[in-house]
Amino acid sequence: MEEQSRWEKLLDRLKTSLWGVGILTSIVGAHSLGAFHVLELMALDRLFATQLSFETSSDKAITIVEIGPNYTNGTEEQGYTIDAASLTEILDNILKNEPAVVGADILPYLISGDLSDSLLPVFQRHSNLIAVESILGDPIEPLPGLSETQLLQQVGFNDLIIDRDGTVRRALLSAYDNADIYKNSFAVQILQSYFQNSNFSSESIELKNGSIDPETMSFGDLEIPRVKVDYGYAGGDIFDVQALINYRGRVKPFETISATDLLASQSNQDTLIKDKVVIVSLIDSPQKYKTPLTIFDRVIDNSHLVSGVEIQAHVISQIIKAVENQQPLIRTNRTAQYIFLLLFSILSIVVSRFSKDVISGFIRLSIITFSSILISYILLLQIGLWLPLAAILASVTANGLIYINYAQNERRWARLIAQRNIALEKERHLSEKLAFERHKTIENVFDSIHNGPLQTLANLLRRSRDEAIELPEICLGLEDLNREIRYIGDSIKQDVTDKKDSLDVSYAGTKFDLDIPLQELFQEVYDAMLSRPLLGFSNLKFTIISFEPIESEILNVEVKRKLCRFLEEALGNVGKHAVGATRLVVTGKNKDDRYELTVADNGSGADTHQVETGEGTRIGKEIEKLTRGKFVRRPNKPKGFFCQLIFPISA
Amino acid sequence: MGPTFNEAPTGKILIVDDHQVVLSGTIGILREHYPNHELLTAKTAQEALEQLANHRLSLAILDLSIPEAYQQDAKVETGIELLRQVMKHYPEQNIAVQSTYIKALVRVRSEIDSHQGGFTIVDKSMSSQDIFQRIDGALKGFSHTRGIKALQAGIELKPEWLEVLTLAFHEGLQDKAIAQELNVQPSTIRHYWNKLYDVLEIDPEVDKKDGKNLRSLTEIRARERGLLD
Repeated sequence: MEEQSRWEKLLDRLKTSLWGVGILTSIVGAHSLGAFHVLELMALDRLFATQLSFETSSDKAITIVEIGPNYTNGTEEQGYTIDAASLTEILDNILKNEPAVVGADILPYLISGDLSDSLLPVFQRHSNLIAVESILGDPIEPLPGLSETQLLQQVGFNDLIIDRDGTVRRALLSAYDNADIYKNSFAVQILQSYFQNSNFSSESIELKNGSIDPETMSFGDLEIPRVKVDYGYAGGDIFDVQALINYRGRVKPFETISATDLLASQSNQDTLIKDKVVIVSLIDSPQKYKTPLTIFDRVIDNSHLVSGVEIQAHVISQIIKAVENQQPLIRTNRTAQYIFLLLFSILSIVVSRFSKDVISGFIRLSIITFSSILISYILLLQIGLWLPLAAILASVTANGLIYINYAQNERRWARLIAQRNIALEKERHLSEKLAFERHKTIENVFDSIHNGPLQTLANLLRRSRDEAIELPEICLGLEDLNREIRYIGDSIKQDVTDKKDSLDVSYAGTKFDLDIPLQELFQEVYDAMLSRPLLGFSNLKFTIISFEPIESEILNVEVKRKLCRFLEEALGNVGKHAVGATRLVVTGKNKDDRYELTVADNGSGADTHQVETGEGTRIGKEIEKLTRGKFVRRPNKPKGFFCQLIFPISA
Repeated sequence: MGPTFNEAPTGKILIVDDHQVVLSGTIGILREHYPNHELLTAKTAQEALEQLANHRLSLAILDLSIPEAYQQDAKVETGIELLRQVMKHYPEQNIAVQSTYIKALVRVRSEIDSHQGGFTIVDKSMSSQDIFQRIDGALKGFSHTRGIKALQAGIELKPEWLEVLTLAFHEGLQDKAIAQELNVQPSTIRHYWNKLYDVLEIDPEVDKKDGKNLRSLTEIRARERGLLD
């Protein structure tokens, strides 16, 4: 029975946990199919935005130089171009201030005039000057006239990858062009040159293939985490080496200065160029891009849109910081994703399932939700780990709500069952009490009849058989009997209405209050019994009578009643059997924490006493049990009968 | 107080009764016979207990049906309780119980038998002469409680009283020796004798007047009734 219920319990547990498993499976499935991708990106954007608002310092390693109208041709609407001579002048000026590396983010078709005299010699002289090309879509060839080595080391593509919502989150670091030639991006070329010339480490930091993931690239020991399927992007979006851009710092954390201002001031040249990464671009490039933070920024104007050169600066900056300051790059990992998803789901199920009430359930669920966000944020900030926060939140909320509801239902059931059990228990208690009362009443009535009318009847019968009685006396006896029986009936009815504990003494036509001290009750019972016309009393010459007071507080009403019945019975036996008795002893004495109740006679009834083992024994046995005492019946010396009850009076 | 044989008695007597008529009647009888006694009265159990606490009384005459306090109903139970209190706290106080329902005393019979002072029971329906005799008996420390004995019990005795009889008339011991034998005070033995006079229907005052020896009379009666073999 118990075994079965344990099985049922287990089965029930399993059934209820199936919901959680179902929810989790659907969420994991949806997550792996990329259903959460957009939401995950939004969550990531949100975390970036939060992170950005905390970081205020500007990035001093990179300077952006914008070439303004003083040097350019064209209009804002049509776009600007620059003359090769002007560009050469600017670059020469920058390069003479010993920058770590200079990147010219100006596509070749925007440069007019003769290159061979002016611009190409600059690239010749300075190996740390990097130019751009474009390899995606309609490719744009690099500057014509550059040597093979220069093409390999001083040109990088500046193509950006734009997500479907128009936001730039990934950087393409290297790729195959249309001619299947493997090329590095502008940022990678700048970084390569930067690390070659920087004094950061004693050994130069070289670009090579990753050791853990050979398909990615690494700068020295720093392996760039490559965007893979785990990241939620659709397979077609992922090609070559892409990395998530960690938009650290402010929206525009980089020192930006116009070429005019830079060239006009020697102090600017001193502070903004030496040993830095300088990126040169034309002012107000028509192309503007959205970053994760743009979405959440309440600024309506376009001030938070960024230019391509700024995104390049972000890519360069994060890798420099990763190498030099061990600042983390954004990565993710499928195993970690599922571990966290599972962990938080189970946690939310457990706290909801075992919540004490709805409010505490919701509070706990909120705490779990909040901590999942906090942990995601901290992990992203500290080790760059990107967790599937949207999936976690969806699972936590769905499981939490379902199991809070389940727990609430279960509590309601438990309450109902508890109420029902209490009611049942009450009823059982009541019926037990009633049964007990009924039993008690029957016993009382039986005792009354036994010690009253039955004794009178026995006396009459006996005297009739002995022919020692005249007819008028028989009539008197029968009248007594009639009166006694009627009295018992009336007395029962009265007890029901009075609800008072009393002892029926039908032969005396009265009842005694059981609340008075026990020795007084004994005295009353003795007095009433001795008034009955019983044979055994008719020849008494004297009676030794004494009832010592007894600590009757420890005896309850039922025990007192039974003790009186016992005395009644013992005296009744004397009256019935002790024919010719001349002396009677009726004493109650205290003896060492016990009370001795004795009735002894010197009549001739010993033989009949022994024969009869009916009612006297029954009451004797009952009182033995009730008082934990001892009942003795034996012949008295030299004749008669001796009857004694000894019971403890202290608890 | 024990028995006293002072010929010119003085002292205080307390009469407890809630009926003014009965009170006046009793006071009349007492004035006539005890001109030198101070008479105190009480109408409730509370009052009675106060008087008992405040005065050293030669005798207390108690009614059974009295109220606990003023404005309350008179109940036999109250009188019985008062009697219990008096016997418990003043074990040598001479007491006369005056009542129309003396049967109510049956249940305190054991305490009455153990009470060391005089104790007589007076039925209110008795003649003035009889009433005075009972009151006088109590004042002198005697006992008269035959009115409440069980119908067919014969003579009712406490075990100790029978021992006194046996020691006195079988062993021929004097009171002092009996007291030593039973390990009680000699005054207790005197109290036992008074109780024996009572159950053997010896009225000490009357029988002494008739020139009878109380102890001899006791022995004769005891043998007659089968108390002594």
